[in-house]
Amino acid sequence: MNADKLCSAIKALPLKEEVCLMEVCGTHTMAIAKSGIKSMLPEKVKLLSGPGCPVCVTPASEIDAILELSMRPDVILATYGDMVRVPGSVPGDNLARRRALGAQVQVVYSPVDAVELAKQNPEKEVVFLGVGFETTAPGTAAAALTASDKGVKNFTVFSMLKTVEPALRALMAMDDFRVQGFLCPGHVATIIGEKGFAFLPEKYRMPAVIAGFEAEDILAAIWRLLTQLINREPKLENEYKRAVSEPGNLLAQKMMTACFTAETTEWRGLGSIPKSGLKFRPEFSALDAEKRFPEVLGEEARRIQKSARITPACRCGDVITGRISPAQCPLFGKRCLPEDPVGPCMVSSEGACAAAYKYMDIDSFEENG
Amino acid sequence: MGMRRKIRIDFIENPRVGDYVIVHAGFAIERLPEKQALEDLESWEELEEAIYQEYGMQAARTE
Ligand code: SF4
Repeated sequence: MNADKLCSAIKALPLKEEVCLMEVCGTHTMAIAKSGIKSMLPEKVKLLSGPGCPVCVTPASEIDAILELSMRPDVILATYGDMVRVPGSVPGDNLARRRALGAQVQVVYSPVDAVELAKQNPEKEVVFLGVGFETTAPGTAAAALTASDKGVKNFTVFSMLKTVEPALRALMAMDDFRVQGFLCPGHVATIIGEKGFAFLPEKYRMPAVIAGFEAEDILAAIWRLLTQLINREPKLENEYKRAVSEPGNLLAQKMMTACFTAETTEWRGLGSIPKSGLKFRPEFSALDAEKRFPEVLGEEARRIQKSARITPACRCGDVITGRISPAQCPLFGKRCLPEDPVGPCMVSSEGACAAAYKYMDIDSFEENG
Repeated sequence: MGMRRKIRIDFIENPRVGDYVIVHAGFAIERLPEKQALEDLESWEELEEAIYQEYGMQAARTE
């Protein structure tokens, strides 16, 4: 079954009204933009990007705290690459700029590399910026526990890790939420299993399909979502059986729950969501950067910063909740460009604005005028 | 060809040399067994069948 055939099958569906579907995974955002799927779909089918790009959902207050921490001469920040250019609440201020001012910021591929960095720099404090969802949380936990087992005392994690379910629930609780089906993230599902998304049809009568990352996977998932809608039969289907089982990866789940508890945390665009943030259990507080640097990263410190910050005109919050498409942000492609991003959605290659810009999503330019 | 990288396999039960795995940020998060790959093929066939049955679309059939 190739993409053309799937597209004809989608076009043949008897759709009466416009349908909005949402993908909640940065890798899907990129795959959809790259393959030009949006332009292949009938006009009535709209695809929106949800809160699936890890740096995009990180609130400005946390970025501000990280920027402040980066200026300490005894601290080395270890981070995934896309975090380096995410601005805080002051436009243009990011880790790249702080690095030019003397901050020590090291890009790593994995939290394991960050632990190595700590071993090599015993006189410094290495803080790993832990962003991501269930896909990255188990590895972050495992790396942190290795550090503690091996007696690496100068390693901590600033956990901004989040879980997908509470965010989807918060989205669906919004008054103006217009999405009628979810393309569920394949790699998160690899960890939490099919069962992790069963709440969508069961509690919300929301069609849901777990999808892989090839254009064909995504189109097949769209066909299934639309068919569910037409038949008024919301259910959970798994289009990514090669990597996703019913129970998910139990070893990874065990590691995650052993290390973290679910606490209230702030999301860009969605505000504070109960039990959506993965924070270290008290017995692992020695690994917790919030405990090691409470004056900068502690909740109280961030609250004060938040009240003092200016809100830039970036509408990432509206983009990742499906309220607007990237091109509807007045700054898109004008003041905000991948070379000089105003918000996180334009920084990360997984961000909806960057993907829309890079692959010249025709829709976007039309809407932008 | 390809790329060599050290990864951790904490989350793979009974890992064996020659296993295919999905890697995310330095950790193998799932094994891709051959059986599942086959099941996937079956699920494509099942999808084609579903599309065909639903709308009798010739286009959806593999020639
Ligand atoms: S275009 Fe730029 S400013 Fe507008 S929402 Fe996207 S990232 Fe923010």
